[in-house]
Amino acid sequence: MNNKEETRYDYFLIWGNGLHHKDGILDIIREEKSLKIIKIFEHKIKNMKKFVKEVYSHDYAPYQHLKDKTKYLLSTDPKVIFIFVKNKNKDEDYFGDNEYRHIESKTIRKLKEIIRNKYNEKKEEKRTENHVIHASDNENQTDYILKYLGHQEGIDLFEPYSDIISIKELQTTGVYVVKEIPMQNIYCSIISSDYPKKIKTITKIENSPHFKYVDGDKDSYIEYINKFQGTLLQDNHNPEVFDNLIKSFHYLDKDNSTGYILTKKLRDQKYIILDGLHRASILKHKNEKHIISAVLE
Amino acid sequence: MNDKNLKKIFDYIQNDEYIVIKLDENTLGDHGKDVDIYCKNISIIGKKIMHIANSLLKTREYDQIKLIENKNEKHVYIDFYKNNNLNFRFDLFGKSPNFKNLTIKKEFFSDCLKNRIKKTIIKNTSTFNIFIPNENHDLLFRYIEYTENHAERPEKIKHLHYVSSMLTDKNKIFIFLSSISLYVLKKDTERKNTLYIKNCIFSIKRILKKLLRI
Repeated sequence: MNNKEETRYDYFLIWGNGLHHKDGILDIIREEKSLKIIKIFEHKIKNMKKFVKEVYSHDYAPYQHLKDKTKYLLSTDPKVIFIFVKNKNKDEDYFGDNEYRHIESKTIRKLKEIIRNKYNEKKEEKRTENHVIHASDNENQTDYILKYLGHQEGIDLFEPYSDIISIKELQTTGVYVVKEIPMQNIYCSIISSDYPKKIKTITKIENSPHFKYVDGDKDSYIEYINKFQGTLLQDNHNPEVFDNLIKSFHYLDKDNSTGYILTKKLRDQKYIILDGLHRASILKHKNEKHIISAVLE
Repeated sequence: MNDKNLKKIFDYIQNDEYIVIKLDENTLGDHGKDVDIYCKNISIIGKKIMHIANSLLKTREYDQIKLIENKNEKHVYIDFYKNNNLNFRFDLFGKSPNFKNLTIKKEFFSDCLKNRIKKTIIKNTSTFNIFIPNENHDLLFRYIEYTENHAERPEKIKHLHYVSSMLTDKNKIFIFLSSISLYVLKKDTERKNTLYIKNCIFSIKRILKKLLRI
């Protein structure tokens, strides 16, 4: 469980009727500074009725009410997008009456309403209750839905694996060698242009859409993100986030001394990036000849 | 690790809560040696050591730093390598280790941090401060080290010799023995085994009774 008392993990779920507003919804969530998007992923639904029941299985409203309220979902696109966030401002309070009284995060509740007001279908200029988005009331619901999606570790999935190195949920042996590597020996793995025939291609950093973006060719990166976000790309990347990184990036500075680019050794002194292609592209563009990397053993 | 680099690291963590345990001032920094550090927050201390390590990699004073981490045990080795040889190791503990023969109350480690003392190290041209446990806690650490490891590593007798050499008067002996009774519990595996066997016999008897009733 998330042991940092001041934070909690929450999720938003974009229903099929809101998928065409995905970018707008993500922008609204990104603008909320107390939320940090951790994962974005698409989920295809085999049985909508069953799925809706699972999502609302921890809800506080009476079952019949939920059944009526979610009827419209049975005819929506059987695809949803999950956006998991770290909520740094829980701001919890009680909502509902009597046996339906429950705790919610005001931050999440407020944002959910903003999104619904903006994107829920309107009839006679009034917002309908056919919601485009659902959000968790508490961390247990986030834990439950992750387990339902097949992540048995629940919210522990988001806890950093290492106390020292800033790496994301990587199952490793916990042995890293931190050393300088010549930039020319570093390769990256990107989604193949032949996808879905071939999933990934190993190439030089300068051939990646990430490097091209830093170099001024922004379209290929934008196209790459738009095409694969939520499926093969699940981190919170978009041009605006990348622009901010480019502007403020200082590799391994005092405040981020262990934010290493994570690599793994291949043959012939070559290394492949496991985490940090955006950062490596910036360093490559700055013409750095060597970088300090944590090499996974 | 030379005195200048030791100074850089210990100066950088001077405002953090840690203690160097079983300090041997004479060999601190020597080739192939290690230093054991118990940290209140292993993440902060580990990241700060790595910050200095990054600068030492850039100046080519070391060619690689190996980080071996057991997150569940909150135990990290930070190994400094020069020409592919282990030069010096920082052995960081973020919680009480699991001991084989003893059970140490968790209050022991927080009390050690609370009552730590500052020690000034003068090494070659460098002077820096480090935090160590107070004398009584230090003796307890050495006693634990001896009890845990002397069966496999007879050289650990040195810790017992050290403890006995430091217990020079009745008052010190009294405080030391009181601390043992306060913090150290002997693992009662024998009792556990007896209980386990008793439970097994009880279960078998119950099953037999049921079977006989049928």
